[in-house]
Amino acid sequence: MSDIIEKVIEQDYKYGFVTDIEQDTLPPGLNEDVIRTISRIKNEPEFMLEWRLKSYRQWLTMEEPTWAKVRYPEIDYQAISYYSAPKKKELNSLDEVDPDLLDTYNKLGIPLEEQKMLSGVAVDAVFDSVSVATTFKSELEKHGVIFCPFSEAVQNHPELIQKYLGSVVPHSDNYFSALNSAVFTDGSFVYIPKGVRCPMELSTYFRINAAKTGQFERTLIVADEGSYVSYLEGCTAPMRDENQLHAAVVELVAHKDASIKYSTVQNWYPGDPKTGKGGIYNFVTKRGTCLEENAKISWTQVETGSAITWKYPSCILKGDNSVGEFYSVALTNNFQQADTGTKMIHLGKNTKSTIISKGISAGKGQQTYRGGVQIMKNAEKARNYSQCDSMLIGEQCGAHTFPYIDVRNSSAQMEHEASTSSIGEDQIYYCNQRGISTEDAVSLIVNGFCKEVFKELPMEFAVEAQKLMEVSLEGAVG
Amino acid sequence: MNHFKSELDSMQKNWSEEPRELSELRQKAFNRFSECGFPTKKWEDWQFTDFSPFDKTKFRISSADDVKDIDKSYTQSFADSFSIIILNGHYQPQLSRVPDGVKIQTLLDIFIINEKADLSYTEENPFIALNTSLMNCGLVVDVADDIQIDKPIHYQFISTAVEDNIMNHPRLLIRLGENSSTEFIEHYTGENTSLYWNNCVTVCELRKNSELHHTRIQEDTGYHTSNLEYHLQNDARLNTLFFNSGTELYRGDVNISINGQNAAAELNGLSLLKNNQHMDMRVIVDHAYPHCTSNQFFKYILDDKSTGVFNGRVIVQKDSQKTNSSQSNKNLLMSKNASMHSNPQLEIYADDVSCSHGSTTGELNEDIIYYLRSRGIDNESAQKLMVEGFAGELLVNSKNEKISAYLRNKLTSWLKSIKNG
Repeated sequence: MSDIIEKVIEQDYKYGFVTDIEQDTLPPGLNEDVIRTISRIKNEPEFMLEWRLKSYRQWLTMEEPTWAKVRYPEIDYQAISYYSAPKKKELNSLDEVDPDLLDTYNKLGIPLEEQKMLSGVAVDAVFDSVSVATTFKSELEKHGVIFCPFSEAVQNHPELIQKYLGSVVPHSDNYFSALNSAVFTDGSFVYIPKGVRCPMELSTYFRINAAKTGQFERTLIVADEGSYVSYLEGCTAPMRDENQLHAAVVELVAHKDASIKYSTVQNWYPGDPKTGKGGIYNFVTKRGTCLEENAKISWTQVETGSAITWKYPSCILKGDNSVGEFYSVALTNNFQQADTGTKMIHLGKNTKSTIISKGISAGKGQQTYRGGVQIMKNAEKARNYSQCDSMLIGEQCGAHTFPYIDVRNSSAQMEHEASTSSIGEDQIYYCNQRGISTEDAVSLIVNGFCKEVFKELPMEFAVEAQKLMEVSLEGAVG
Repeated sequence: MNHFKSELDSMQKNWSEEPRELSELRQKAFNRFSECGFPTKKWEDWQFTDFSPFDKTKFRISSADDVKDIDKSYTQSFADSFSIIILNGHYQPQLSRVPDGVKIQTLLDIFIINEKADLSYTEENPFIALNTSLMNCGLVVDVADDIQIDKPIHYQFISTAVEDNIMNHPRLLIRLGENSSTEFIEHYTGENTSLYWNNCVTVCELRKNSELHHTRIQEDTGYHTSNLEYHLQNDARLNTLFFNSGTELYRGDVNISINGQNAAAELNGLSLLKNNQHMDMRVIVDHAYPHCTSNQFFKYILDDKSTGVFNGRVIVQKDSQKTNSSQSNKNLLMSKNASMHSNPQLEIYADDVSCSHGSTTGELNEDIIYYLRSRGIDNESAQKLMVEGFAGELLVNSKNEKISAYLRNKLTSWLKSIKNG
C-alpha cells in the first residue's frame, strides 16, 4: 500500500497554468477609498456603497477566528489587491471573448460552445472578478428566471438586491463574510419567480487567475413560492506559489414550497505536493434559509482541492415542515487541511434535516468535520439524522469529528453517528482474490464509500466528481 | 475572587506547621487560579455552564468544628464492604476499616515523610488549581502488588447540615500496585439544608496488569465539581460507573490517559436530572499507545427545566495503531423544557484504528407506549418500564450486585419523585 500512497503524493496538479491576459488591477491594500473605488467602477447605487462601508467598519472591529483546526501563516490583508478585471468588457457573443481565455476553459475541459450546444447548461463563467460570458440567457428570460452576474443585477434589479442581500448572512456575521461584504466584486444572482421550475441546471465556473488577487464572490439565489432550481458550482485554479485567499459568501432564500439544490465541485490548487506551499485558502460562508413552510434546501459538495478549506454550508429551517440536507465528500491529501461541516438550525415545527458527510484523509492531510445541530424550543417534532464517516489512508493523516448537538425540545428526534477507520486489509485481500488489482480495489471501496453523496449530484456533476476522485487519488487509491 | 484569597490566607495561618513545600505549592496553584479565574462562556469546553454561582456565594473552608455528632447510620449503605469515612471534609480513621495490603495515608503525612505524590494540576483547569491551593482533605490509598481484594472499599464523603456555606477541596489518590485488583466506591452524600460545595480531584494510577472497578455515586445536594484522572499502564483494566443525581450544579471532568499497551477502559455514566439541575460532563480519552480499547457509554435522563451537557473526546495519537474505541451518548428528554447539549468528538491521527461514536436525543417512543397500554399496562407503568429499561442497561454492567440493586432503587425512587412533582 505504502508505495501506492507515495505515488499519489507525487501526483501533480493537472490544471496548473497561468493565462496571460492584461488585467485592470487596483494596487494592493484595503481602506475606505479602495471600497469607494470598487463601488464606483461597478457604478453601484448609493445603498450598495453604504452597505460595503458598514461592513468594512464592522470588519475592522473583528478578529480573525482561530477556533478552526487549521494552521496557516498570518494573512496580510494589506498585501492583497481587491480588484482585478480582464481589460475587455461588454461582450455580446462568445466570438468576442479573448481567445486566450477560451483556451483556458478548453484546457480545463469546459468548452463553452460545446456546453452551449450539447449539455443544456447555462454557464455564467467568472474569470477572476468580472463575468465575461453568459449563455442561454434568452431561454431563461422566457421563463422569467433572472440569472446574471451580480453587478448586472445591482444595475437592473436593485430592489431585489436591496431586499435580499445580507438577509441570510448579515454583514456582521463573521470575519470573512464581513470582508467579503466590503470588497466583493462580482458573483451570481439568481431569481426564480413564483411557480417556475427552472428549465435547466444553472452553473458557474469559478476561476482564480491574477496573481495576488483575492477573490471575493457573492452569490445570491432567491426561489420564490413554489419554484425549483438546481445550481451547480465548480472550480479549478492555476498553479501558483503564493497563497490565494478566497472568501466567498453564498446566500440562499427559499420561500413557501420552494426548493433549492446547490451542488459544488471544488478542485482548487491544493499547494505544492512536497512542501505544501502555495494553494488556495478557501474561507467560505454558505447559508440558506427556508423562510416559509415546506421549503427545502439541499447542499451537496465534493471538496478535493484548496490548501485550507473552512466551510460550513448551513440551513436555517424557519418555516414549518421545511427540509435541510447536507451531503459532502471531502478529500485531503498531501498537506491539505479541511475544517468543514454544516449547521442545521431547527426553528419551525416538523422540520427535518439530514447530514451525510464522508471524509477521506491521505498523505499528511488533516480533516475535521464540525457540525452543529440545534433544535430550538418551538421546533416540535423536529428530526435530524447525521452520519459522518472518515476514512484514513496513510499513517500521517488525521481525521477528526466535532459535532455540536443542542436539543431544547423533547419531541425532537436527533441521531448522530460517526465512524473512523482505514481500508481493511481483508477487504483488499478479498478483491485481490477475485482478480481485482489493489488499485482498483481501493478505488472500488472509496467509490462505494462516497456513493451516498455522489448520487445526490446532478448527472453531469456526478460524472465529473467521480473522475475527480479518481484523479485525486490515482495511484493512491486507484 | 478576593474571598478565596482570604480563605487561603487564613488556612495558611491556621496550619502554619505545614511543610514549606506544601504551602509553596498552594500559593503557586492559587496564583494560577487567580490568573485564569472561573470559566466564562467564551471558553470552548466550558461554554454551556454558568460558573458565576461559585463566585457569588461566600463559601468558607470547613473547619474541625463542623464535625459534630456522627450518626452510625451513615456507614451502613453497603454492609459487606470496607470503608473510609470522611465527614464534612475530615477523615475519620476511627470509623474506617481497610483490608490488609491497603495503606491509607493523609497527604500531610506524605509531605512530612517526604514521599512522592502526584499533585500536579493542569494549567487550563481552574478547578484543579483551586483544589490544589485550598486542599483541605487529602488521602492516598495504596494497594500493594499482587493483591486481589474481594470486597469493595467504600469511600464515603458525607456533608451534614452546617449553618454556614462550606466548601471542601478533597484530593484522593488511588494507586494500584502491579497485578492487583480492587473495587472502589466513591460515594458523596449530603443533607440538603444548606448550600455547600465539594470540589474534588481524584487521581487513579493503574500499574501494570492491575484492575480497578470504580463506581462514583454523586448524591450530595450542593454544588459539585470533580476532576477524575486515570493513568493506565500496560494491560491495566478500568471499569467505571458514574452515577449523578443529587447536585444542583455539577461539572465533571474525566481524563483517561492510556500510557501502555493492551490497556482497556470501560466508562459508563448515568445522570438523572430534574427541576433546575444542571450537569456538565467532559470525558477525554487519550490513546497514546497501540492495541488499546476504550468504550464510553453515557446516558442522561432529563425532566423539568434541567439541562445536560455531554462533551466527550477520544484522541488517538499518531502511533496508537489498532486502537478500538467507541463512544455513545443517549439522552432521554422527559419534559418540554429540558435541554441537552451533546458534543461527542473524535480526534484521530493514526490510520489503522476503528473508532466510532453516536449520539441520540429524544423522548419516549409513543408507539411503544401505545403497545404497552394496549396490553393493559397503564401509562405511568409503561413509562416507568421504558425508563428503567433505558437506564437499567448501564446498571446491570456493574460488577457488584449490591451496588446495582442500590442504584436501581435510587432510579425507582427518582422516577417516583418526578411523577409526583
